[in-house]
Amino acid sequence: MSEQQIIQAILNGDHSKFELLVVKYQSMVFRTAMGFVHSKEDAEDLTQDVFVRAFQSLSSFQGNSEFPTWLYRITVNTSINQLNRNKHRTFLQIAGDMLQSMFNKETGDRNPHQELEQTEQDTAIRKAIDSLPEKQCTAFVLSKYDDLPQKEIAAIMQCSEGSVEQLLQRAKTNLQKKLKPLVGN
Amino acid sequence: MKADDYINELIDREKQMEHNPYLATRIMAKIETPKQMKRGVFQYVAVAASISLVITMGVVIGNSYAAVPEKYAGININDSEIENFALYNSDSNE
Repeated sequence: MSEQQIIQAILNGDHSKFELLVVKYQSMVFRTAMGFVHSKEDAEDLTQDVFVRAFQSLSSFQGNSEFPTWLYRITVNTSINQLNRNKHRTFLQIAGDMLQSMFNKETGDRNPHQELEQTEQDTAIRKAIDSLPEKQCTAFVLSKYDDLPQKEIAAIMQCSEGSVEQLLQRAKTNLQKKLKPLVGN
Repeated sequence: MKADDYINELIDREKQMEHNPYLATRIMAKIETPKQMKRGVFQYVAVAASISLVITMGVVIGNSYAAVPEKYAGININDSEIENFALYNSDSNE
């Protein structure tokens, strides 16, 4: 059964067929969401939101682009909205998340000092990625987390491949600047 | 170690993270649950209006009560006209 047939069946009222799409694309959406929110629980919630939105607006899917491209667009938009909401989080919520990530992490062979250093380093990198301008952040996540070629990123972001290349270059420069205090020279 | 290496290391760790195996079930359950109606402004207005109506009706009904003047019925008992029981108790009168 092709994707187009599945979509048609869903639109005709067979909602259970949507599970086929969910099973096929959940990992893809989850990975992209991880790139934006960096937390398993948040990424799962975001994945759920993305599929609910996709289901509700399935009738607007014209088939002009590939289904995964359309789904990527919904994922990016939902993730950016979530990121904007997260900017208004209180200090207590952020501190709670940090503590939770510290306690839930596998320590391996590292001692508490190394563990703390690693947590601080991770937080700094996540903060640097999150502080990138929206388009740079989107291009960076799609390139690094989903390993998408520039052509596909351009299709998702509805811009030229040249623009994507520029965005990626700027994102890289910005991250290096922001992380200079962490790595030294 | 360069900044790129730090970033790539973090990204690799995050990419290895697996989602909950029941995520698809959770999503399908969410989709198939009938959407709860959101409380609109109208609903809040209707609740406020009904409370106001009840209070107003209480005040109106309370004000409409007019005290009915009571009609007193008095019994005038004159002790001197009461028959003397001693007449019946006395053996001499039998």
